[in-house]
Amino acid sequence: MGTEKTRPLILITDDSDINRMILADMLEDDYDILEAESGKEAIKIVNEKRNAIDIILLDCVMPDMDGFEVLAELERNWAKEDIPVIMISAESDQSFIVKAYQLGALDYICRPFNAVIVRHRVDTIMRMHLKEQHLANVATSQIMDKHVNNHMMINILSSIVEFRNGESGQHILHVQNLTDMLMREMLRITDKYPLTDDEMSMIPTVAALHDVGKISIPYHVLNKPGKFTEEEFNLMKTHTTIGYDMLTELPTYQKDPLIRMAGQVCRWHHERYDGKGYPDGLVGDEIPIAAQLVSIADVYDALTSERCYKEAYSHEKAMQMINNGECGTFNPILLQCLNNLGDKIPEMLDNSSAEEMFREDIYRIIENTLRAPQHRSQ
Amino acid sequence: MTIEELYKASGDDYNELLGRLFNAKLIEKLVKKYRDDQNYKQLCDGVAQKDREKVFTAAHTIKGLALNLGFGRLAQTATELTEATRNSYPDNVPELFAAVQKEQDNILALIDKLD
Repeated sequence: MGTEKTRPLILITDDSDINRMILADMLEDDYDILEAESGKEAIKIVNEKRNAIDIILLDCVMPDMDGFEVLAELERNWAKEDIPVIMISAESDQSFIVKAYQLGALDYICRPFNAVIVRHRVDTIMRMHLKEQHLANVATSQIMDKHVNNHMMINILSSIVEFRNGESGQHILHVQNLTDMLMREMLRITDKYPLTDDEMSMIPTVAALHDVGKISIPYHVLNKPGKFTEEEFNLMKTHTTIGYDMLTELPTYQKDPLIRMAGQVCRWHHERYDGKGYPDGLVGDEIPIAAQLVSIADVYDALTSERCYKEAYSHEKAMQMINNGECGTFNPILLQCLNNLGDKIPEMLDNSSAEEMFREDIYRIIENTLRAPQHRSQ
Repeated sequence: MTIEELYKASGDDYNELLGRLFNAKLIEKLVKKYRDDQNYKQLCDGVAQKDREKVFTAAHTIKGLALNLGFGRLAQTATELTEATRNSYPDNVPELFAAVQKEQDNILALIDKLD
């Protein structure tokens, strides 16, 4: 995304200094100029300057590494940065031009240079590129703002509930982060549970709401240090259905996908894969995948945190208890994900920022959307 | 000799060039700089070594330079040598090279007469 600059930076790559001087003279009024006298030097400069370079002018025929090889190298390593490239050459053979386009060049200028034409074409490509970047940034910030606001309100609400539960505010963050990590690992190792981009961003967000139903559980039950009586346990269990009812009966938002998913997570995050959970005794994949993910994250964090009725267990002990089925049966694929994450979990729980990952995801999605229609011909 | 007289003597169109580059000072600077350009030496070495790739690359660059600087006959002879050596090294390379050499010598002699 880069910092604000007053003048765009252009990299002129040509083995002939006279040609570089001509181009520099044409462009120096409006551009800052870097020069490379070979393909190798151009790649080196791009590697060093990364996203500081706004546009590349590239000669075709050069000794050692020619312009086509430079294009291929850029496409391999820098496709993400997507620096626009204009090829320049004395070559007017159309097959050269086609090859340049196929390798990702946006335009092709033949010698002899004409200052008006060179400036116009460079300006046009530059304007298009800046507009595209600007659009991507604007769209990203707007989506981010909306997300941050949603996220903030959800976190405030769930923190209030957690506070009353006598649990630390960390619990929500941990459940969100671990849910996110498990989800990504799941998507990495299997395509059994495909998720849309929207679902991917919603699951960790709604994870925060899994216990909102506890707001209706009397304080003395919630924070009872000893073992529950059967009656108390039955009351405690109702936090799942109460949370579900609270969310799904919200008059205005009944059809909102986020609220619907939050409702599922509230209701079914205590279900177990073998059907022995509550409140509905759902079996296997009858339990929505979002609720399955949150249930493992919730159990892991409950085990490794101190509660009014227990000490905190170590990561190793918690993993052992979950794998032994001491906290009920989980989806074997998700257990595999948990085990794959393994020892990285404790560190990542506190360090990973779901917010940052989310920003990268959004930016990627928007870039893909913007670039889709003009995708390069093969 | 002025730069305009140089172009007249070489049979080329200075005004066309000025119409493309818009910078008389730059043109004069570049033309003087062309005297020291190493591509012609590369071309001579390539021909001496019968190195196709070297000949092709140097001839191609000279073609581009000549086009940019408006040296029409040099561009034309360099283009012929470029096309001849694009994929192979035919027997007539020495003749094509001699044609480039003649135009190159002519241009350099004129540049030496510049004020």
